[in-house]
Amino acid sequence: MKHDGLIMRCLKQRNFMIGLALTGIVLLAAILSYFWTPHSPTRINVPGRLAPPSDIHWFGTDHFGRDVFSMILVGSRNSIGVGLIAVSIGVITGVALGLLASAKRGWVEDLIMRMADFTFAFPAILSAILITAILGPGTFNSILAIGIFNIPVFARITRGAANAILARDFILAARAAGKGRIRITLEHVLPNISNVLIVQATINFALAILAEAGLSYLGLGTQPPDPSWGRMLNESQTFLFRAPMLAIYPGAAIMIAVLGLNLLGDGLRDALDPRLARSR
Amino acid sequence: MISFALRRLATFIATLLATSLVVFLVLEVLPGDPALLMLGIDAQPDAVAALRAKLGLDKPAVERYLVWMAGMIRGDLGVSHTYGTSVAELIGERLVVTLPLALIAMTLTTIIALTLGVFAASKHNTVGDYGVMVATQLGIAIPNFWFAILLVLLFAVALGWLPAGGFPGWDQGPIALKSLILPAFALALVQAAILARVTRSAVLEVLREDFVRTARAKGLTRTQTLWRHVLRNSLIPVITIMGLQFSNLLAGTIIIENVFYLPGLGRLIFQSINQRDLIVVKDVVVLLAAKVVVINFIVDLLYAVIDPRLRTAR
Amino acid sequence: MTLLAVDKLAVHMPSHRGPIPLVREVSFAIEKGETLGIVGESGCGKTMTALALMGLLPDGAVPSGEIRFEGENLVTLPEDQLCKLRGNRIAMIFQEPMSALNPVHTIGNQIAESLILHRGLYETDAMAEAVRLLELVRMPEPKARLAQYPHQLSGGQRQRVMIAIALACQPDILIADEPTTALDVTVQAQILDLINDLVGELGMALVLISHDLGIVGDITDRVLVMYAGKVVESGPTVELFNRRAHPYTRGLFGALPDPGRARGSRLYAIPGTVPDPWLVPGGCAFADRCPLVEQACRDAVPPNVEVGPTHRALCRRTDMTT
Repeated sequence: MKHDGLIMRCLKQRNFMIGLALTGIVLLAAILSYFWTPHSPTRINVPGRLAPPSDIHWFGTDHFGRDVFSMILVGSRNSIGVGLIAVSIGVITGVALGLLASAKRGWVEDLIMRMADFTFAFPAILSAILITAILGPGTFNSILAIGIFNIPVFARITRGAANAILARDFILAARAAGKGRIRITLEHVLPNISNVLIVQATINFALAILAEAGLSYLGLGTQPPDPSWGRMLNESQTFLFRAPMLAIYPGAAIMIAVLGLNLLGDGLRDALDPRLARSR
Repeated sequence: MISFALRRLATFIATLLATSLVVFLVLEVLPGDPALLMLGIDAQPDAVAALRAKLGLDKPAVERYLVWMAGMIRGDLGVSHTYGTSVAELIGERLVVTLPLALIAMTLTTIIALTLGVFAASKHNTVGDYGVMVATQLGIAIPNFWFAILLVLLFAVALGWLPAGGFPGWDQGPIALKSLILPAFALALVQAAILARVTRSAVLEVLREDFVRTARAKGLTRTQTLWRHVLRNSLIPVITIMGLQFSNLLAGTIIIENVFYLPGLGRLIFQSINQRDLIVVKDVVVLLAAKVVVINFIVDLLYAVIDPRLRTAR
Repeated sequence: MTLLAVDKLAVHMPSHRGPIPLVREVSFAIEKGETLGIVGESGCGKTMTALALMGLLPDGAVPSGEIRFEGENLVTLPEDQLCKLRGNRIAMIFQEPMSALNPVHTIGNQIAESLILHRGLYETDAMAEAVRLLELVRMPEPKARLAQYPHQLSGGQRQRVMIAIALACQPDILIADEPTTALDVTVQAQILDLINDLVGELGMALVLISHDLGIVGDITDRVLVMYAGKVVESGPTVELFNRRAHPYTRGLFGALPDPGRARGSRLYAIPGTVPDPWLVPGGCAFADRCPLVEQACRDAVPPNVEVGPTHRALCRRTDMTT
C-alpha cells in the first residue's frame, strides 16, 4: 500500500515532528499521572495555599493548597480523554451518516446535509453550553455536547469524498462484477477517504480540547474535585494579583496540547498528500 | 442585481422561520415540561403548575409558537423569568456593550489579518513569511480566554494601564472604551491568526494568475500590482471567513465577557442558560440565528460587489 | 538602426541538482521597424528569452549577459527603471487571452492604466484614448467596451484588448509570444493580420515567437531558430526557409505535412526528443538526433558558420545541407 514511504515522509516533516513531540509530552503526562504524581492533586492544605514554586511544589500551590503540578498532570487525562472520545463519537457517527447519505442519495442525503448545514449555523460554543446546561454539567455531558458538534463535520467530508469516489470508473467495474454496496463501501470508499479523515480528526481533536477547556472554564465541564485545566484557569483569575503564575500553567498546558495536535495534523496532511503542501 | 437580492431575501426569511421552529421544538416541546426544566427537578408541584399557567403551557404547541412569533415581530419578547423585566429591554441594555465590543474586535481582526496575510504572501518563502506562519500557528493554539487573562496580567496587574474587568457604563463617556480594549484584543487574536492564513493563501493563489503577469508587463511595480490587481481578487475567500468569524464573535463574547465581567449579551445568555430562564434563552438564540443569516446575506451581496462575474448569477 | 542588442544572454535556474540552463547562449539584434521571428519546439528557451527582455523572468531565474537598449544593460538595470520601460518602450502580449485580463476591472480601466501610469494622463483623457485604441485594433463597438468586463468578451476580442494595452504607449518594440495559438482558427488569421498591419503603420519592431512555421514565414523579415537554449540558425526569413542550413531547421521543415506526398507515406518526425535542460550533452546539443552527426560534433561546440550574408548556422556540417 502507499503507506510504506509514509513513515519516512512524516519523519522528514518538521511540523509533524514538533507536533509529535508536543503531543507526546502531553500523552506521557497523562499516562504518567496514572502511576505517579508528586502529591495528590486533590489534597487540600489551606495553610500552605498560594505558595510560589519550590522544591516541594514544582509549580506552587493553588488557593486550596493543592499541588499545581499534580493537578496539571492529572488534568491532562481529562483533556485528552474528553477530546479523544468526543472526536471518536464525531468520526464514527459522522462517517456512518456520510456514507449513508452518499449511498442512498435522494431525500436521505438532502436531509442529512441540511441538518449538517443547520448545525454549522449555530456557534458551537453556544450549543455546547445549551446542551450541558439542559442536561447538567459534568464530564460525560461535555463529551456528548462536543461530540455532537463533530458529527456534521465528518458527515460532510465523508459524503463529499464518497460521492467523488463512487463516481469513478473502478466502482462501476466492481458493481459489474456483482459486488454489493456494503462491500464496495468497505473495500473501496473507506481506504480512500482515510487520509482526509485522519487529518481532520487530528485537527478536531485539538478543537475538542479547546472546547472542553472553554466549557470547564465556564463551570460546565468536569466538576470538582477532578482537576481540569479550564477550571483551574477560572479559579486562578480571582488571585491574579497575588499568584499570577497560577494562571500561566493551565493555559500553557492547553496551548501545548492544542499546538502539538495542530502541527501533527498539518504534518500528516503534507505527508499524506504532498500536492497539498504547495502553497501553504 | 435586484432579483439576486430579492431571492436571497426570500431564503433569509425562510431560514429564520426554520430556525425559530427548531429552537421552539428543542426548548419547549422536546424536554417535555419546560416549566419543570426551568424550576429544576425537585421543585414544588404547585410552583410548577403556577409557572405552567403563567407561561401558557396548557395551550397547544402550535398556538404558543404563533403567539411567540407574533410577539417577536411586534417587538414584544416577553418578560424574563429571572429578572422580571422585559426581555427586549434586557437585550437592548446588553447590546450597547456587546455591539461596540464586536465591532472593535472585528476591525482589529481585519486590520491585523489583512496586513500580515498580504505581507507574508508578498515575502513568500523568506524569513518574513515563516515568521508570520509561526506566529499564526501559535495564535490559533492559544485559548482566547487564556490570552485574555494574560493580557490582564500584563496591562492591568503589571502595568496598570487598563482595567482588569467591569464596565462603567457609557454615561461615563469615552473612558468606558478603555474597558473594551483588552476584551476586543482577546477576541481578535485567534481570529486574526486564522484570517491571516486564509488571506495569505488567497493572495498566493491569485499571484499565480496570468493577469498578474499582464499587470507587471504593463510596467506596474510589484507593490502596485499587489494593491490594484491582486487584493480585490483575493477577497472572496477572505470575506467568506470574515463573515463566519463575525457570526462566531458572539459565541466568543460568551466566554470573554465572563472573563472581564462585562454586562453584555454573551454574559446574559450564559446566565440565562445557567438559571434556566428559557424565555430569554429562546429569544436570544433566535436573534443570534437571525444575525448569522443577516451576515450571510450581506456577505453574498458583497461577493457580487467584488466579482462582477457573480452579478449575472443563476 | 539597432534598437536592441542581445549579447550572450543566458538564463539559469538554481536547483538542488545544480543550475539548470534555460537559455544557454543567445545573441541577436532587433532593428527599428523590423519583424523578427523566433521559432523552436516547446522548451527551447524562446519564451524565457522574451521574458528576459522584459525583465519578467520567474522568481529564482538568474539572467547573465547583456541586453543593450538605449545605452543601458537591461540585465543589470534596477527594477524601478525597468518598470518605466515595460509597457512603455517595450511591450509584450502573451498566449492566453482568456486569463490575461483581470476579471474584476473593466476593459476601459485596464487599457487606461498604462496611459495613466506612463503618460500621466487624467482619467477622462485616458478613456478617450482607450476608445481610439480599441478602434485601432478593429474592435466592434469600442465605446461600449469600456464599461464591460473581460468575461463578457470572446477570446479574439480579449486578444484585441491585449494588443490595445500593449500599443497604448506606442512602444518601440512589441514582443508577441504565440499570440494566436490559443485562438480559434478563423480568428487566428484576423489577429495576425491586425498585428502585422499595426506594426507597419506605427513603425514598431516586432518579435514574434511561434512554433508555427507558416505564421513566421508570412510576416517576419528575419528568423531565429532555437534549440535547447541556443540559436542554431539565424538569417533573413526567405533565405533561411529556402536554404535550411542547420539539420534541425531541415528537420522542422521535413516534418511539415506535404500535400504533394504520396498518400499513406509516413510523416517525417525528427527522431528522439528534446533533451531535458539538465541533461544537454556536451558538444552539439542536437547531436543525438542529427542525421549528419559525426564524432567531431560531440567533442566540441560547433562553430557559428556564415552561410550567407547575415545568415549563420551553428553546425559543422552545413556543407552537407546545401
